[in-house]
Amino acid sequence: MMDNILGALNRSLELIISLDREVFSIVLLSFSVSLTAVFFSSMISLPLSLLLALKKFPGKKFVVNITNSLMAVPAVAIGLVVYLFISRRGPLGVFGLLYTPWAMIIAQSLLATPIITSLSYQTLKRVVSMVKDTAVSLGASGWQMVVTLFKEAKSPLVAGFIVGFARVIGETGMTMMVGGNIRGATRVMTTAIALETMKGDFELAVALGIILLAVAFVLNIVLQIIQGAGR
Amino acid sequence: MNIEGEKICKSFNGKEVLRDVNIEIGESRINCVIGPNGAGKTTLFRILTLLDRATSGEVYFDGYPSFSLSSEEKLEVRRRIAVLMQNPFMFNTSVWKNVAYGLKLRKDTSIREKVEKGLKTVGLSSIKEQSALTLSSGEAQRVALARAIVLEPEVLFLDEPMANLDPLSTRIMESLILNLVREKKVTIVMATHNLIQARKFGERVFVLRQGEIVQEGTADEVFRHPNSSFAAEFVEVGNLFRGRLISEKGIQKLDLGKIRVEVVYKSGWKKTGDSVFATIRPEDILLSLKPLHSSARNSFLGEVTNIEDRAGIVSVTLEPIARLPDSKSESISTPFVAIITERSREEMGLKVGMDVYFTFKASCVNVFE
Repeated sequence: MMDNILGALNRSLELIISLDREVFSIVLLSFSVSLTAVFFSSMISLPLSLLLALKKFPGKKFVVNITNSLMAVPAVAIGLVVYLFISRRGPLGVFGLLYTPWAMIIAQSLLATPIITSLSYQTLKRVVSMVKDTAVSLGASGWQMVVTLFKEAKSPLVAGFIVGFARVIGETGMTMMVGGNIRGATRVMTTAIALETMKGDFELAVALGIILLAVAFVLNIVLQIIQGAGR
Repeated sequence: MNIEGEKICKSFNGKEVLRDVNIEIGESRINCVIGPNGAGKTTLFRILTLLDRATSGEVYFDGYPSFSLSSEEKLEVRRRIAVLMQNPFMFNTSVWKNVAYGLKLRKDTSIREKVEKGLKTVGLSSIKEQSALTLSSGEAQRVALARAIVLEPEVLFLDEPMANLDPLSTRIMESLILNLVREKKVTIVMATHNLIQARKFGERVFVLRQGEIVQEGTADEVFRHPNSSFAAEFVEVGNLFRGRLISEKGIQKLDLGKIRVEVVYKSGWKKTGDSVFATIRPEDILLSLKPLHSSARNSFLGEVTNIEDRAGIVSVTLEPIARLPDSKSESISTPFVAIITERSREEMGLKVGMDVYFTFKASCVNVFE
């Protein structure tokens, strides 16, 4: 058994070092899907959290509570809902999104949005209380104040994006459900590892596992540096 | 720019913080708002600088009510006013960029020269590249002042500018403020609970108590003639008495129990026999070993019960000796406090237990209800 593991490790390192075409394409797809998902999430999260941090309006507390509750929704449930919507008979079936990278992007965006919104809101709320009056009293217009706000909050905001990215790039079940783990089309690191392991074919699984671990490791280090640099 | 608040009220969650505040800021001079912590000074400042809205009442800028101003006009007004907050917030960048911030917002064309000059004024040119987050509170306060004055505001609001400052920073800050008024003709509005400062600076003083302005006037008026026991206690007059107004042989006097002091009658006073407050500033009381032959009509013998030396200024507590048998006043043994110099104490050989004469003018007794 030990030989088995060591052998797999040895061959997997070869795969990584030789920049194996398949490994490379899987890693690339993983990154592009998850980065796109985080991008779409932030398009929703940033304006929403800014609105929540700056404005008082009826139902604001409700929106905040909902956002926080959505963080607890299991990924597999999101996968199910997205599947039902984009499957051929679903309301969005005509677009033929199921088992495409876009399906994975949609599901991952839905998973990341509450996380990024909640973290961004907490960050902006704290920064607003300190920055707003100073900027306004020094003559900032509404837009200038918002720009200053984002400048002051950039590190913790980026930290929020990283947390969201780490969450979605490591997601397996949901991604498998809507992406289908199709070789060369929707196979990403996590789904590939799951499949190859089940097949008993450890080389690719271990190679991808090492890369995924390294990604998680690097993201955490970056996160800690950012949080350490923040006040 | 002329700023005037009319009947300003402000409540937070039903709690009234300001009540019917009327305030007119005198241009090109120092206006002091004094009051204890929690009196509403900061809230008033936030409303007068358009950082917050009054629950009711109106603020006028050069006669225009703030509600009539469009958001562009409000921005215009805000850009003629600068505010130095009590705990200024520093942007997460260098000192230099912090000072340049407001100028950049205005797309100023000579940012470099103005920032350099501003930093030189507050004496911090040497740390301009340093991160503003690493500053001490005194340095941060000075950077914040530079950040405000480079904007060349017409009105500068200072919220407790010298709180938490070391003596050196305080001196720098004081002389900077005086320079701004004298040379640049900037209107200063300063909130403080430090009375010495208010007295040193305030050409116009507003006494704020629990959200209401209880007295306003020149610094001298407020300090010499506080119009309420609150104002008197707050401005620390030293000798605050409660007594009854009496008329003795046609002369208006105040019965303080042990002694009766002559006062200058002012029309509009309460009837004879009514209970009133009176204050006498300690420095208005003269001490002597022998009776003084002067125009001052109040001269009494007292026993020295305490002597305190505070850095060359000696505070002497006196207990009046004469007891009037027919006094109807409820206040009996209120000691008087006089202030003399170290030198005159030595010359008089003043010691606890000695009897001395203390003398003050009738006009120095400030009577109020």
